Amino acid sequence: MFQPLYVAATGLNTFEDEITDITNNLANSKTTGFKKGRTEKESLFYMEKDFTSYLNDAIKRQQDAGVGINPVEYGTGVRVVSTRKDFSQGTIETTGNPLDVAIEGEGFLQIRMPDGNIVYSRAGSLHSDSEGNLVDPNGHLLEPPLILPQGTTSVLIKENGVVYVSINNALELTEIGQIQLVKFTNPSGMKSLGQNLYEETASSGTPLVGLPTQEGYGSLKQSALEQSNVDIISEMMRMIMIQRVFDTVTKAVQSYDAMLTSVERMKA
Amino acid sequence: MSDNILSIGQAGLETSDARVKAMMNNIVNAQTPGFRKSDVSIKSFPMMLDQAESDLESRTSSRAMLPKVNGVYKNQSHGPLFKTGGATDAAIGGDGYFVLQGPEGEIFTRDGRFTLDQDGKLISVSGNYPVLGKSGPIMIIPGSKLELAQNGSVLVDDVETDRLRVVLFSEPKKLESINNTFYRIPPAQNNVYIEDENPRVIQGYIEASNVSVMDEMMEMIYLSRIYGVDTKVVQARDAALAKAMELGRPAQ
Repeated sequence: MFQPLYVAATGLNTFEDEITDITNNLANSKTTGFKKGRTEKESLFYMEKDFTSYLNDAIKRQQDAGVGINPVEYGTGVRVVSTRKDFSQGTIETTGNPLDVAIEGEGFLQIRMPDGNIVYSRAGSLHSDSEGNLVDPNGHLLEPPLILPQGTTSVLIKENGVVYVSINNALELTEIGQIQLVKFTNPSGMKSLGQNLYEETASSGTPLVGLPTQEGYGSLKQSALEQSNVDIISEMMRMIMIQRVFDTVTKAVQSYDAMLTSVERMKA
Repeated sequence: MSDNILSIGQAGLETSDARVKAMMNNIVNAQTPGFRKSDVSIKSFPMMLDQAESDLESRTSSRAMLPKVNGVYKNQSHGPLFKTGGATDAAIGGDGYFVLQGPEGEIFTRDGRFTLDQDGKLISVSGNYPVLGKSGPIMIIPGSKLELAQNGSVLVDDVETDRLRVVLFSEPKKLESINNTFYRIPPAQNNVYIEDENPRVIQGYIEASNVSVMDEMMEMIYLSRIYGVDTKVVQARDAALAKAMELGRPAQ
């Protein structure tokens, strides 16, 4: 009884989640290194379990029953299966700040959190702290650490990540180290920590450490930042579509409600 | 007591109920990629006529022509394609199906939302099943450039490593639906597929649901009207029966 109402509720919930995702994308459309989320939906079976057991159950049930070609069976709605990150390249914008590095390619910078864990970021807006350490905008250390010596007047970061500094306007450049990058088998599977940081998970695979300009890691571009890869137009389109379907489901609920009312009135 | 007219009303309400269930699931999945809408088929008039004739021949008492749900079909028309730009997304430009390695045999789907797992295996987003190529599950070297050519070739850094399997069914309607997105071959059926050697795989696009919100809105209006009519049938009969009962009541 009232099954259509439960089905409608799964739809309304899913669309609400998707609107949240769209809003988050839009709000971050000017955030450096932000990667847009994509809400993936899937249609449901008839029991409250995880997807794989749904599928296995459905297969078993059909085998056991030996049902005909067109069994009378109704779906039970929709749900969000994952909100994965779309790691496509954002546009590179020149900033003029020598400590900004944009990654052209698939690599990630490594950031050491205060608790010692290594997390990963695409936002290359680096700064130096009071001791000359290169840090991300939140003050977390770059890994492997790079220290700008006292009296550094200019910094040169090459495409391959080698960092040179000029001390007290000396013409000769001193090499202080090299920025490393990591890549993942499935970057979409990484967990987003906020602050433009991502964490490795079982589904992302283990990080592979390499150097910029190596195959598959991408190269570095100094004095530039990677902008958000959110495309406002397509987000707006998604929003309109979701809103329309949301409205339709609401209408369907009203219509079903009217049907129930006419049943109620059947016995005067 | 069984009453023919009441059961007509009841049967009408039951078929409308079936259709409202299918409609609601169609609408909430109007934005689910690869979803195929359900159409409820009601036993048609010729079928009912045949049944009535055989009833006459066997001299059973005549029955009311009750509408009945015959089956729920998955409408296999194609949905529109839309662009995602994702390298692991693919749509099929013809009638074929992708082949996934399910827990109990092959699963067929037109939902081309794929992703990589931690080992670099190409899997489906929904269900996480390996996508099958001509030589088994498709593996991608981490960090390499994946290209799916129109003919189904899987190019990793411009080198062909495998070809996506796309299969064609002579009678896709006979496929058994698992959740309107995934299909399998029914065990008792002999629905043999052929490999499409020249598929049209479109990378960076996925196929949307084939639910037409407009059609479903029309269905909704139709259903709530027909429901009202059926309840009126029951009401009218109820009133008539009440009158009949009054006849038998002793005068006061």
